[in-house]
Amino acid sequence: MDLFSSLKMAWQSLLANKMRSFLTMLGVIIGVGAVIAMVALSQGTASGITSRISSMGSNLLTISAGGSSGPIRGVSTSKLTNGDVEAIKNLPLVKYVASESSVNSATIAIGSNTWTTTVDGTAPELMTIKSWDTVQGAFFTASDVDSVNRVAVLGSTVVTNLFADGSSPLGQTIKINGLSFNVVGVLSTKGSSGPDDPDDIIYIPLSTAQQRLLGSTSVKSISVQATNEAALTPLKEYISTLLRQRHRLAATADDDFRIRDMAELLATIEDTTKMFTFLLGGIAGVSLLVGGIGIMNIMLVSVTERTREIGIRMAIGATTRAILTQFIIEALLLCFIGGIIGVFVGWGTSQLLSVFAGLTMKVEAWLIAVSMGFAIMIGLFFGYYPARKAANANPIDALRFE
Amino acid sequence: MAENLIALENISKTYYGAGEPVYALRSISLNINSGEMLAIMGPSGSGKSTLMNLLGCLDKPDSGSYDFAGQDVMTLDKDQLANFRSIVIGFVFQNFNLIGRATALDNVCLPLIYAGVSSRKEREKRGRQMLRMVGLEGREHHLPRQLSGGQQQRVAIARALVNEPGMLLADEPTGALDSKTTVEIMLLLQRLNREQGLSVVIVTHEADIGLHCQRIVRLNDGLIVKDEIVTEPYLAKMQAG
Ligand SMILES: Nc1ncnc2c1ncn2[C@@H]1O[C@H](COP(=O)(O)OP(=O)(O)O)[C@@H](O)[C@H]1O
Ligand SMILES: [Mg+2]
Repeated sequence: MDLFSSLKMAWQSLLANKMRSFLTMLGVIIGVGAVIAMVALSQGTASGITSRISSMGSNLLTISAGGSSGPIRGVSTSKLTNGDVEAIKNLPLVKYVASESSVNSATIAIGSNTWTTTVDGTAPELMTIKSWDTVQGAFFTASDVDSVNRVAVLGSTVVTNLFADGSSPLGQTIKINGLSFNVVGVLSTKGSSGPDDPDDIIYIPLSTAQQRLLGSTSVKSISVQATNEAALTPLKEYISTLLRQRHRLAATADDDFRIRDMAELLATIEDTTKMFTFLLGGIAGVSLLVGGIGIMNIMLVSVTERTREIGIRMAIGATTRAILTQFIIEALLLCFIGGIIGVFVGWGTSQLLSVFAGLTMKVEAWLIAVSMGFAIMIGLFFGYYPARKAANANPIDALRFE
Repeated sequence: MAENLIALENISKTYYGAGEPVYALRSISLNINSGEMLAIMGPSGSGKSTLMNLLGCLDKPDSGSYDFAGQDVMTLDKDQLANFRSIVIGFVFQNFNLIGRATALDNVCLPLIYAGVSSRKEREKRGRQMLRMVGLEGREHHLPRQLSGGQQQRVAIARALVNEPGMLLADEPTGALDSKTTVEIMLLLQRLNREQGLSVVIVTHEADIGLHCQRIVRLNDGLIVKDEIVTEPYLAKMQAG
C-alpha cells in the first residue's frame, strides 16, 4: 500500500470528524506551543546574561579578600592592601590591574538634592578592563589617582536622580559625605540584569577614597586582566603564590583570599540556566504528554466506532499491516499538524512576550526541530496501541459489529 | 467439462461464546464448479453466513479440508488469507458496507490499493471501467449517501469485482432492496455469470432469488439438507415502466 494512498485515507477520516480532530490536536498544539515558549524564554534570558558577562572579557580574574572556606565570609580578618596590588602589577602575564575599595552607602548632595549610593574608589584601568564608555567627559586619569584629586565619574542612575532637571553634571561640584568633588565624566548606561543596578554608582580615585573617605589602605577587590585567555591558569598560580607569601600563610593554612575567573562564573551561570531550560521545558513537555494521552483516548474510541469499517477493509484485502499503518498514520498526522500549529503558537507567544513584556526570547531552529520530533514520537507511541487493537480485529467479528 | 473450483470436505465450525457452544456447521462437504451460480438457502441461524465466511476465507474452519482452485486454504495464516481473498474472492453484503466518507470511485479502487496497484491512474482507470460495467457511469464522485440502495449495491459489486476475482460471494445482496431494484441486481449478477464466467454464490432466504440460480444448497441447523439443480432458472427481466 503506497504512502500517498495511506495519507489520503488518514486525511479523509480526520476530515470526517473535524471538530473532534481539532480538539484532539489541541493537546499537542498547547504542548508544543508551551515547550517552545518556555524554552525560548529561558534560552533568551541565558543568552542575555552570558553575552553581558563575556563582553566584560573572558581573560579577567577577580581577587577578593577572605578565603572560600573562611568562618564568615566578608567579616574575614584578612585584607588585600595597596602593597598587594603593586606586587601583582609586577607579575608576568598581567596586562591591567585595577583595585577597588568602596563606601557602600555614601550621601551625595548637590544643592538641596540628595541621593544615597555606592562610592567606589578605583583606578582608570578598570574602565579598560570592563570595556566601559563615557557619554560625557572622560574617566579620571592616573595622575588624578597620584595627586589624590577630588574628581568623580557618575553612573547614569545617579545622574537621573541628582540632575532631574536635565542640566549637565559635567564640571559641577557634588558633595560626597560632605566633601566636595568635581564631576569629570558620566558613564554610559550598562543596564540591569538583576536586582542590583550597575548604574547606581560613583567612581572616584582609589587614593582619594582610601585617604579621604575610608581612612584605610586596604582594598576590597582586585581586577586583573591577563594578556590572553591561556595565561589565566598560570597567572592564577602566580597570584596565589605571591599573596600567600605576602600574607605569610603557613603551608597548611587555607588561602585568605579568593581568585575567580569569568570563565568559571560563566560556567556556573550556564549550568543554572541549563537547569532552568530543562525544568521549564520539562513542565511544558508534561502537557505535551497529556496531549498524547488525549490522542490515544480518541484513537481508541475511533477504533471501536470504526470496527465495522475495519472489517470491510479486511474483507476486501487489507492486511494486518495495512490497518496498523492506517491508524498509526492517522495518529501521526494529528500530531504532525498539531505540532506545526503548535510551533506557530509558540513562536507567536514568544513574539508577544518580547514585544509586550520586553522579555528576551530565543526561538532557535533546533528547538522547533526537537519539539516537532517530540510531537511525532508522541503520535507514534500513543497511536501504536490503538492501531494494533484495530489491526488485530477479526474480520468476522468486525463485520458482525453494529 | 466444468472445472472444480471449490472442494470443502467435512468442514465443522463451532462458536464458543458465553453459554453453550454453538455448532454452526457440522461436518459439511460441498463442491462448487467454476462458472456456477449457486444459492445457499435456509432459515435464520442455520449457518449460511458462517459457511459463506469460510468460503470467502474470512475465517477458517475448526476441522476438515478446504481447497480453493488448488490452494490448500487451511495452511494459510491471517495475512496470507487477506492477500489470497483479495485476488480470488469478491464480497457483497446485505447492507452494502461501503466506506461512507469515500466516493463511489474511491470505494471501488480500495481493493486495488490493498492489492498493491501503486499507480493512481491505473487504479482510477480500472475503477471507472467497473463503474461503467455496473451502469454507474457519471456517479464516480458521489458519496454513498448520495446514492440509492440499488446504486450502492452496484458500487459494492463493482468493488468486489475490481480485482477480477473468480468468485463473487453475496450475503443477502438484495435483503435491503425493494423488488424492482432486486430484479436489477439479479440481472446484473446473471449477466456477469453468463458473460464473464464469474462463479456466483448467493446467500438468501428468498425463494425467488434462489430460483434465479442454477443450483440451490439448503442448510438447516448446520447441515446440508438438500442440494438441488434448478432445471429452468428464472431470467431476471426489467419490468417495463
Ligand atoms: N461470531 C459468532 N459468535 C458466536 N456465535 C455465532 C457467531 N456467528 C454466528 N454465530 C451463531 O452461529 C449460528 C449460525 O449463524 P449464521 O451463520 O449467522 O446463520 P445465518 O446466516 O444462517 O442466519 C447462529 O446460532 C449464530 O448465533
Ligand atoms: Mg446470516
